[in-house]
Order: sequence, then C-alpha cells, then structure tokens
Amino acid sequence: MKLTRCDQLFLFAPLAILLGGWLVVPALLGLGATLTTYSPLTTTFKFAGWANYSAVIHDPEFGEAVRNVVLFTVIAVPLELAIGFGIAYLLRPPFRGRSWWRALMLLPWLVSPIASGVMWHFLFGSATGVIDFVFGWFGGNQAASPIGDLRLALPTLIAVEVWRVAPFVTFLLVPGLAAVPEERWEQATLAGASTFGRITRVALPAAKPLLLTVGMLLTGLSLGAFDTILILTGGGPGTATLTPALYSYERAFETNDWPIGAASAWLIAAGVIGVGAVYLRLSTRRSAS
Amino acid sequence: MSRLLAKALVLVVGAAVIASCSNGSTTSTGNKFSGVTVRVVTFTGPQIAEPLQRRAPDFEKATGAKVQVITVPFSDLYQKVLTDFATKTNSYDATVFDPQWMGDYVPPGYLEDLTDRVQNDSTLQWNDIAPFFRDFSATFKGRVYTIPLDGDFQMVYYRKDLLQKDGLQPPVTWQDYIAIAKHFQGKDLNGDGKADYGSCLAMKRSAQSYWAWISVAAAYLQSQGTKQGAFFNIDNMQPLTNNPAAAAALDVYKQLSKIGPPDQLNNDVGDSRGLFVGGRCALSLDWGDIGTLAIDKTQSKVADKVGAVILPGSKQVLDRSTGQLADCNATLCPYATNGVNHAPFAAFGGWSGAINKASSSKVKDAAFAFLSYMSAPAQSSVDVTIGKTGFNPYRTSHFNNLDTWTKAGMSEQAAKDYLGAIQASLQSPNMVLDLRIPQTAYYQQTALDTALADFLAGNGSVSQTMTRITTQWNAKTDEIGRQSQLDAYKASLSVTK
Repeated sequence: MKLTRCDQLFLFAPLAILLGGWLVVPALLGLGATLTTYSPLTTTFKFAGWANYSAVIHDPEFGEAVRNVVLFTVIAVPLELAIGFGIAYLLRPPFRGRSWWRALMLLPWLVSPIASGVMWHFLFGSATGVIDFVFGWFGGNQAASPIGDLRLALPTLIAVEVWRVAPFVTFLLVPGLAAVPEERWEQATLAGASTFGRITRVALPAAKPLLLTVGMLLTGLSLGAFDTILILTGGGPGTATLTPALYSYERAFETNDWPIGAASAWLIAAGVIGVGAVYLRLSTRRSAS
Repeated sequence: MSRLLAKALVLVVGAAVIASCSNGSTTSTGNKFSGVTVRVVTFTGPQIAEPLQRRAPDFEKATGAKVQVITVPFSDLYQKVLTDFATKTNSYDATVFDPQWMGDYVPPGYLEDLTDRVQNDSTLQWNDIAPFFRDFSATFKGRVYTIPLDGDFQMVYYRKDLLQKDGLQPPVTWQDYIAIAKHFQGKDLNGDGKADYGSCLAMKRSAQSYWAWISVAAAYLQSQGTKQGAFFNIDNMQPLTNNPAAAAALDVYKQLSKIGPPDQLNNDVGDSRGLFVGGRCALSLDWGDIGTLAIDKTQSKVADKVGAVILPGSKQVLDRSTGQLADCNATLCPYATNGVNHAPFAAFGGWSGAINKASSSKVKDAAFAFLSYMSAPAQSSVDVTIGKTGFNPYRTSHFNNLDTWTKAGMSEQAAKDYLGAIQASLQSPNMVLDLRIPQTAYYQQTALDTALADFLAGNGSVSQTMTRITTQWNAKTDEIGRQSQLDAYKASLSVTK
C-alpha cells in the first residue's frame, strides 16, 4: 500500500509536534540566547555576538575539559566495544542459562549513572571504602583512593564507565552473533581458521553494522559524560576529570552564568552533531558499497 | 439503667462544654491568619526543610495560617527564587535561603524591609539573637531583611581524649593545628588497628573547600574587626588575594591537604564528618554540625570525646598600609588574644528567612509571624540541638540553657565545650562576614574554588594561584562595575562612609 502525501503528513504530525515543541523550538531559543547576555535572572539583555563562545573557547578550564573528554572517549569507547564484543562472542553459542547471563549483562546499564556514582564513591572512599577494607583484610596497607589521585582519577572514571557500558554492548551484540548461521562458523573452521580468524572473518563482519551504530551512540554519550563524574569527583582533583558537560552545568547552575553555560552546552551539541555526521557518512558509504 | 443514662448524659454535656470552650479559645487566638496561605521556598534538605515542615502544622493550629513548604534542590534555589521575583511571578511569599544572596535580592527591592517588624515583635526576642547575626548577617545597608534561623560559622573540632592523653593543648594558631595533625597522622585513633588521620578536611572540587581556605586565610587577612572585610580592600575593591597573607594561607592549606586521608582532595563535608565521628581523625574544621553529629550514638564513636575551639589564628597579619605580613601589636591586632589574631569565619552565614515584598500585606504578616515563630527561643532552642535540622545555635538563650543540650544527649562538659567554642566565635568583634555582593557565586565557587582545586592538585604555584584568583576577581568586578560592587561590598559590611 502506498501512503498518500496526506497520510504521510498525518502520521508524521505527532512526532513533528513533539520534537518541534519540546526540542527544536527550545533548542533554537537557547541557541539564540547564546548570542546575547540573556539570563532568566535578568529582565533586560543585549546582543553579545560571539562573545560568549569566545569566552568559553578561551577559558583554559574549558580546554582542560575538552582534553579530558577526548581522552575519555577515545579510550573508553573502543574498550567498551572490544570488551562487550568479546563477552558477546563467548555468550554466542547456545548453552543453558544464556538468557540469564544476557539479562545480567544489562544490570550495570540499568543502574542510573547517579546511583552508580554513589556506589563507586562508597567503594573507593576511605571512610567506608570496600576496596580499602579488603586490602586491610588481607593485611595490606591502606590503599589511597584512586579518585583522589591526580594521575589516576581519569583512568578510574574510564574504568567505571567501561564497567557500566561494556555489558550493555554485549547485550546488544549477542542476538546478532547468535543469528549467524552455524554453517558459516563451520566453513571457517574447515578452512582452518583459528579463533582469531573466526572472529575477524565471521563475527566482526556480522556485527559490524551494529558495532558502528553502538559506537556512534557511545561516542555521543561519552562526549556528554556528566552524572557519574559529578558524584564521584565533581571534576577534580583540580580539573583532572572536568568534562565540558560538567563545565556547562557548573557555569549555568552553580555560578548562574547562564550565557556561558548555554554557549558551552551548544559547543558540546556541535561535537555530538559532528560525530553523528561522521556516522551518517560512514553508513551511507557502506550502503552504497 | 436510668442512672447510667443520666451519668452518660452528664459526661456528654460536660465534654461538649469543654470542647466548645476549647474551640472558643482556639477561635479567639488561632484565627488571626485564618484563610491565609504562606508559600515558603527552601532547599530540599532534609536539613532546613525538616523543621519548617514539622512545625508548620503547629503554627497553623496557633494562627490559622497554612504554611506550604516548597522545596527545590540547593543548586536551583538561588535561580528559582530570583527568577520568580524578577519576573514578578511571585509564587513564593517567603524564602529560607542563604543570606549571601542578599547582594542580589535586596538592591532590586525584592525583599521586605523587616527593620520595624523585628523591633516590635515580642515573640521573636530580637535582642536575644547574637549581635553578629543581627547587625551583619540579617542586615544590608543598615536595614534588616532576614530573620536568622541558623548560626553558621566554622570552628575546629578536636579529639579531647587523644590530646589529653598526649599532653597536647587544642590548637591556638594554624601552626599548632599542623603540628597536632602531624603528631597524630598515621596513628590508630579508634582502636581498630588501622592507621588514622591527623586532620580531616573537605577539599573536594566544586563542593565546600573554598570556605575552609577562607577560614584559614581570615586569620591573616582581617584583624581590625568585621567592618574591615577579608575579601576586598574597601577603598578600591582590589581583591585581598595576592599578598603575603594569602600566600601564607595557601601554604597552610597545602600542608593540610597532605596531613589527612589519602583521598582528602576528593572528600566533601559528608566524608570528613563521617571520618571524624567515626573516630578516624584527631582534628577537623567544620560548622556546628559535628557537635550534634558526635552525640548521635547511632553513628558516632566519639561521643563525649570531642572538644571544639574557635578557629585557630595567626601571630602575623596583613598590614594593609605596607601590604606585608607583620607581627601582631595593639594597633595592628586590637582584638588579639595573647598576641594571636583570631578571625572566626561565618561561612555561608546561616539559613535565614526573608519575605517577598510583592506579597499581599496579610500574607506578609503571616509569613513574618511564621519566621518569628521558627526563630523564637521556644522552638529554636530545641531545633538547634537536633542534627537533622541543620540549624546551629545563634541566640544567647541557646548558650545559656544547657538543659536542652543535655536532654539531646550531650554531656554537660561536652555541651560547655561545644557552646563555648561557638560563643567565643560569636563574641569576637573580628568575625568575618561571608562575601555577599552581586555574583558572589562566581567569585567563590568558580574563580576561587577552581584555583584552589588546581593548586592542591599541584597545578600552579602559590604565586600563580594568587595571580589567577586576583585576575579573575578583578575581571568580574570590572565587568559588573567596580563602583557598584564596592558599594555592595561596603553595604554588606554595614560600612556607611
């Protein structure tokens, strides 16, 4: 059945109203506000041009935040994909209780990032730290909390993020890998492929489209990393774990510098849109080939 | 049977008469604000909101006014209230807020002037409130705009048992504090066989670290009384953040960062308090909260082992005429004790109630009556002894009446120590008023806090950190207007010339 133009408009209208009214219009208003001195706290405002963006870009703290989030993303996302894929490969063959394992994989993702932050805070903390307790139990010396250490704070946050996200990647990839016909695995085995060969020749090509999509999703999420970091370190020590999202939040809601908070938020949005554009380009090229 | 019925009838009639009498009395005293609803906004708490919510029904019974306590997250409170007032939405009739925000709320005329009301209200007992809170914390440009509900300032807590055992005296100067902290660092302080900490402070970024640094710096920066101010030069609004006094305070703070838990740079007040009442620290710096938490036996291992003293001081202070540190003398440190200048810091200033000027007069009367009721000694003397209220003592009567404290679970000696430290701070003419000028949040939470976090993390020297803070403060002052900021700063200090 071919939909008429009228049918198409009718079906699209609810989504258009939802997205237009509650996303596009407010977002555009926010974008406009970044070119002014507008703040909900003032009754007058004036045109500021690019001054807000310039202030953000020239703020060394924002530079630190960008550096951190780039490191966070380029390390965390590949690790999440690799570990998630590896576990999915192991869970691929049917075995008793596989569906339970798969459901279990979803648990860290289902825990809200704030709750996850609180949990890890108690694991690492020296007052109530489980890790410290375990060290003490084995007669070890007190372990300094890694989130209070300038060099270890960011790697620790990356580890926490990988813990939360990698199992989710597994959850998404298992059905795709399980759906690969058994003959293809057998063909690869008969052709003398090692485990590595089976992964590269069979599993990866099968999972590639989904990996690309998940990778794009995770990259977007990583660029906006916020909740867990807010709870665990607040961006510290120093600026060791500050991210652009945290920077934006601090400016808008802690120091009430609304124009700077909004401008930095739009710079994050631009980064995410850039990643989305790369994804579209890659997927279009793949479809064409 | 008929006798039984007659008895029952007498009982019923008697009960009805008593009921009508009591109704009558409620009507005569309890309907003053009948039909009036007061919408009070504060932060989610549970602290601060809890006593307001708990006492609202009693107030309604007594006056007829319904009090609706609206809570919002702390991070939203400033914006929500200011937006509400600025846009004339006026959905809040009163707010229990941080008096630091008066610098943004009073000049545009959003808050009701309470000067005459507080003087004429016998329930409130205005003169029972400690002079600092009356004359500085509640006052802006000589007029009263808030009713104090909480007495916030920082002091030092120490483990009395440990210091006594080792023959040590509580710290008088910051050098003493460091020496005591070093003495206990790494020793087992609670008998669990594990190494504990000499001092536990909240040094986490984007939290409350900057207040702790100001508590240290205050002793070096302000010596001539509250009106001198500890943040800016009151002649030209130049920040007092780039001089030998600020350098000394940074140096002390850096040393303190290394004498404590290994993750001290990531500890917020909840962590440092937990460590202290868990018996793991010899010293800590905090508001009055540790005093009441320490007597809560469900979580405290140090009940009756805690002493408190006024913030440590310094024998050297900033001589503003030369810009150098100089030894205390009668001229330079008129309020010094044994040559040590103490400058207790009223960090945050204590939660206070204010009234929306735009509300109707009947609602404003009811809102004032509610705030007065909350602050009145009958209510507040109980509330300040309960840890979960978040309220700390601020009235003379809170110190004079030890009964309420012993009933709350403090030993008489512990109550004397705790209240003595608070009283010593409150009676100091050199108390430091927290900053309350437009965009205070930027000066403290963005510029100062971030620079301190970087400094503690090893990013930047003392000199670079001071330059950074000063540059950012000056840039913000010039952006807003140096003269208007200077006027606001002087107004907050009640400097009239």
